[in-house]
Amino acid sequence: QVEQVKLLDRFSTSNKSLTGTLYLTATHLLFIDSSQRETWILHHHIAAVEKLPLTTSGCPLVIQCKNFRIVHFVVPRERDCHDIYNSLLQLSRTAKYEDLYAFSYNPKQNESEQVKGWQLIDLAEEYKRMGVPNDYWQLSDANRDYKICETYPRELYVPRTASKPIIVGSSKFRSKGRFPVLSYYHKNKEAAICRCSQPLSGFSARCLEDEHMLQAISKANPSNRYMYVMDTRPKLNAMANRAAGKGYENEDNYSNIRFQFVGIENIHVMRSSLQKLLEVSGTRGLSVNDFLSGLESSGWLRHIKAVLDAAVFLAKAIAVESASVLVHCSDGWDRTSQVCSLGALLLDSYYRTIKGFMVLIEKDWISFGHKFSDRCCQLDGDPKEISPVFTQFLESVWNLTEQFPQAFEFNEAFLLQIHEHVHSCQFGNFLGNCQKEREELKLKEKTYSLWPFLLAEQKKYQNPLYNPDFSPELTLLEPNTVSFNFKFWRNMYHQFDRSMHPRQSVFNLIMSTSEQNKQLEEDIKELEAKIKQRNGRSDVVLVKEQEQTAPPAPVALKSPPCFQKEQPPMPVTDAVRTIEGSNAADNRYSELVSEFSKAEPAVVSLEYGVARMTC
Amino acid sequence: QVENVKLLDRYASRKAASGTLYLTATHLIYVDASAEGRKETWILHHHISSVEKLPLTTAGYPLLIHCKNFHVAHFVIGQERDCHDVFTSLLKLSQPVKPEELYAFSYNPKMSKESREMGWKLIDLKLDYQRMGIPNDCWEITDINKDYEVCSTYPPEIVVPRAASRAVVMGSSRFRSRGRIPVLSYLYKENNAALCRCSQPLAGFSARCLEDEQMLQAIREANPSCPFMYVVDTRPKLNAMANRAAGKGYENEDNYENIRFKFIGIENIHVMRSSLQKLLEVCEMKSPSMSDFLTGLENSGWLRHIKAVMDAGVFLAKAVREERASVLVHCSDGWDRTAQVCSLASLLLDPFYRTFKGFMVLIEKEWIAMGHKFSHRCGHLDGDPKEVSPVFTQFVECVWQLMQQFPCSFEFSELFLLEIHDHVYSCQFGNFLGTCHRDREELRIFEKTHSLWPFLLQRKQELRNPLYRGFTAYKELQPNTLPFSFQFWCGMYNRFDKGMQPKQSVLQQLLGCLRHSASLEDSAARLEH
Repeated sequence: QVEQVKLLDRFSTSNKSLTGTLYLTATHLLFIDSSQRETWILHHHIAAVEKLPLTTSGCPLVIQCKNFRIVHFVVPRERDCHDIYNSLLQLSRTAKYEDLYAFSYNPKQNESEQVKGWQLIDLAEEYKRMGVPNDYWQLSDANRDYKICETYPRELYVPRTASKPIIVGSSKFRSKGRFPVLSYYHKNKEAAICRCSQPLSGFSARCLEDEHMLQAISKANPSNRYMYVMDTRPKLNAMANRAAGKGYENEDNYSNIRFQFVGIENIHVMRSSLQKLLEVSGTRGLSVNDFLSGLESSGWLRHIKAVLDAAVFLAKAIAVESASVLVHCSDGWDRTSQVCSLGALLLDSYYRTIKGFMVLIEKDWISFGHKFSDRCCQLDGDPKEISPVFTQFLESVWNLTEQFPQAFEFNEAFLLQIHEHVHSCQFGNFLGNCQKEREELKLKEKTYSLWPFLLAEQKKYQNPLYNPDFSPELTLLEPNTVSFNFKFWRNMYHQFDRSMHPRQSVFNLIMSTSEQNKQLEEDIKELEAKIKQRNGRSDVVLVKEQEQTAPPAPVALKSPPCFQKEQPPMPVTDAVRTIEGSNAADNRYSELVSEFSKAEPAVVSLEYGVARMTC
Repeated sequence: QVENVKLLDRYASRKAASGTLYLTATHLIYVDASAEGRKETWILHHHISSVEKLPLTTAGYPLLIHCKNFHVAHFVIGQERDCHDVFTSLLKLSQPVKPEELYAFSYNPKMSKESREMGWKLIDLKLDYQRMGIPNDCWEITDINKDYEVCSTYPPEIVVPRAASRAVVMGSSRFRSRGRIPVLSYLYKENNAALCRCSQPLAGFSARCLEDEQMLQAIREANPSCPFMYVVDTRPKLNAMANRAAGKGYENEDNYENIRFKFIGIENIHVMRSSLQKLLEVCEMKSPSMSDFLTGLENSGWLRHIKAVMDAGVFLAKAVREERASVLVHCSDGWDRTAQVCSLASLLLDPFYRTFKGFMVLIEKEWIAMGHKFSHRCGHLDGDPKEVSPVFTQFVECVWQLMQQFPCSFEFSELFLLEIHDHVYSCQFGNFLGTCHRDREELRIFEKTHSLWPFLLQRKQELRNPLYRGFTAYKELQPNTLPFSFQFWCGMYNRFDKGMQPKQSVLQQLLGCLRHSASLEDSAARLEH
C-alpha cells in the first residue's frame, strides 16, 4: 500500500492528475483516488512495467497492459516505486499454469453450475446443426487418444471415403500432423470449409494418401467438380518454406484443385505492426498528418483488410461457386483460424448471434488449437511467440459490425469483453495451447467457463439494432473491402482513455428507447385485456342496440378500414367505438408489436462511455 | 436525347447500366432502361464542375462528368457525334455568364406570392439578436450602413458597441480592409462575452488608427467582467507578416490596450482548394490499397485543415465560456476563415444553433449576411477559378465531425447537411446567389427567387436526427480534437457511389421505427378513451 500516488491522464494537455492510494493484492493492482473511484488492473493484464527517470514530483511508473490500457503513476518516494516495480514484475510473469488467476478465481458457484457452465457450448451439437454427420461426412475416432495430432481435438469430422490409412498417411505428410478436417459445412450448398497445415512437400515430395484425402473432400461435395486450396501466406513465404521441406500443394499432383495464395503476413509482422500502431496511438500532441502516416506505416489496417479479403474470397467460393475450400497457412492455427472463422461468420447468420459467436470461438479457435497461451503470453515465455492474431479476428468482426449494424446480435462491448478475458486468465477457456493440454490441466474441474458469465449479463452485450429478419439462416454477408471502409478502432486501442471517447453515449439512449417501447407494448397488452373485459359487456349493449335499430351495424362494419387509415375518431356512439377498438385496432397493434420486437432503433456507431473492468 | 448510353459504376467494374440521356434546359437526365422501375439519374447543370472527353474505347466514346457535389458520372456514348454534341452543350450550359441565367430565376415551385414572401421572412436575424439580449446597455443594432457607406459587403444593419460613436465607426472602417469593421457576431448571454468579427487592419509596418483602437476598447469595455480581450488572427503568422508589406497586416499589441493577440494557422483558400483536389483524387482511385488510401489522405492534408478550423472554433468557445473574455476574430478580408470560425464557435456555445431553425439562422447570419462570397467560392458563374474554394464545405464537414462526437445534440441529421451543401451549388434558390447583401438586393433576389429554408423545413421529418435529445439536454459542447477524432466523410465525398455506403441504412430504419413508435403511442392514447 502506497499513499499519495498520482495518476496522470495520457492525453489531456493540462497537468491535472488524480491523487490516491495504490494497493497491491494477490491478483490486482488497485488504485483508489480521493473521490473513491477505483481502478483495477489485473496482474495478468500487465504487459510491461517501466520506471522512468525521476522527476520533481516523484518517481514515474508506466504500466502497459495487454488490453491496451496504459497507466502512468507518479510515486513520491523512490523506494516505494522500486518496491512496486519489483513486485509487479514478479506478479505479472507467471511460470506455471497453476499460478494463473483462473485456478484461484472463485465466483461462488457450486459444482453442478460449474459443470453446466462448461457444457453450455457443445461442439457435437454444433456439428449436428450444420448437418453432419451425413452421407458424405462422418465423425472419425482416429484422433481419439491424440495419437495422430496432438493439437487437434479428439472429435474430428472427415469425408466418409477417407479411410483410416488415408488419414494416417495424410497426417504424416502435413506439418505437425494437422491433416485436412472439416471446419464448417454449408448445408444448402453441400460445400465445406476444411482446414489443415502446410504439406511437407519440399520441392517435389508427394504423398498419395494426402492426394486421396483431398480428392475425398472434393468428392464429398457432389455439386462441384473442383475445390479450392487456399494458402493464406504470401507466395514468397510459402516458397521459402519449401527449402525447409515444407511448402504448398503442387497443382499437378492433386486432381481438380484450384490453388490460391492470399498473402496474409506472419505472426512476427503482425506483432511489430501492432507495436507501431500502439506507438502512434500513444503519442501525445499528434498532428493529423502524423497520425495518418503513422497509421499507414504501421500497416495494421492493411493486415486487417488482407484477413477480411481472404474471408470474403472463401465465403464467395462456397456461396457462389458451391466449391469446397481447404485452407491452410504454415501450421494451420493462426491465419487459418482467422480465415475459417470469418468465412463461417459471413456465411452463417447463427454465428452472428451471441451464442453462435461463442460456439465459433470454441470451434475454430479453442478446439482446433490456436495457441492462446503462447500468443497472449499467459506464461513467461518466448516473446517471439506473442502475436495479436485473435485481436485481429475481433477487429475484423468489428469492421463487419460497422458495415452491417443490423446483422449482429452482439455489440462492440461483447467483443471488447472477450478480448479482455482472452488475456485475463480469469476463466479456463483460453488457457493452454490445445485441447490435450487443457485436459491435462483439468481445467473443467478446476476453473470456470467464461461463456455463462457473459450470457448472464447478456443485456449489456445486446445490439439494440439487431434485426434477425435482415438475415435469415445462411445468408451471405457481402462486405465491401475497399480501403475507405476500414477505420481505426478507437474503442479498442483507447478503451481506457476516457477523454478520447465521444461525449455522448448513443448506446444508452437506444437502449432506453427500446425499454420505452417495451413499456409501451406492455401498456397496450394491459389495455387490450381491459378492452376484452369491457367487450363482453358492450357486446350485450350492441346486441340490444341492433335489436332496437338497424343503422348502427353498417357503421360498425365500415369503420375498420377507416381506422387503419388512421383517420381521426369518427362520430359514433361509445358502444360501437369500443367494439372497433377491440377488433380493428387490436389486430393492428399485434402487427405493430411484432414489428417492434424485430426492429429496434439504430445509430451509426455505438459508443460506450466507460468500459467495465474485470473484477 | 441520346439513346444507348452506358453509365459506368466507379468501383464495381462489372455491371454497366444502359439507358437514354436527355438534356433539358436545367438538367441532364439519364434514364436506365435495363433496371426495373426506371431508375433515373438527374444532374443539374449548375452542379457540373467539369466535363471531360476521354479517349475512345471499344464500347464507345466515354464522357466523364465531375459535379460540385462530388458526383462523378462516367457515360459511354455510342456515336462520336452524339458525344461531341453532349459535350459542347454541357460546357455551355454548365457555365452561365450572367446571373440572370441561373436556375433560381426560372425555378417555379408553384407557390403563391405571399407564401414566397413569407419564406423570405422565415429567418429574421433581428429576432436572433433579440434572443441574445440585444439591444442592451452595451450593444445596439444600428443602421449606420444602410447606404453601404461603412462597408459595401456588410448588411445594412450591424451590431456595434453603444460606446462606439459614428466617428469611431467611420474611422475604424477606413483602417480595416474593405471597410469591414469589428461587429458583433454572437453574444454569450451568460457572461456578456462577445464574439466579434472584422477584417485585417491596414497596419502595414507601423500605421495606427485611434478610432480603431477606440473601437476595440469599446468592445472590451462592453464586457466588464474581463479586463482583456482576445484578438485572433486565423491566418498562419507567416501569411499575416507577408501582408504587412502590402500595407495590411495585424494588430500591434503595443498600440491596443489590454489585448491578447493570437495567431491560429488556418491556411488560405488556395491551399484549401488544392487540398480538396488531392482528396478527390484519392476518392477516385479505383481500388486503392490501404497504404495508398492512407498516404493519399495524409498528403491531401484535408483532415489537417478540418482539424485546424475545429481547433480555432474550440479556442474561441473556450475563451468566451471559461475565460469570460470577448474575442475579435479576423483573417484577411474576414469572410472566409472568419465565417468558419465564428459560426463554429457559436454552434459550440449555443444549443439553439443545433436545431433546424437555428442552423439556418447561423448560416444566414455568419455566412450570407456577412458576405461570404458564395458566388465566387462556389463558381456559380463563369469566373476566376482561383476564387473557387471549398470554405463552406469545410464548415459543413466540421459540423458533421461534431455530429460524430455528439450524436444526440443535433436536431438534424447528416442528410440535412448534404441537402444544404447541394443547394449552395445548385443555384436553385436565391439564398446563396451573389456575394453580399448589396449584391443580392441589386439582383432582386428577394422578389424574383425563392428561399431554400421553407422547403427544407417541409422535409423536416426525413432530415431529422432520431437520436436528438432536445434543446435543453446539452448546452456547450467540448469536442475532442485529437487526430483520432477526425474521420474521412464517406457520406459526402463518396455519396453517389452506392457500393461504398454501409450496406444497412441505420438512419432510415431508426426514423421508420420512431414513426411506428409515435403512431403506437397515438393509438394507445386513443384506445385509452
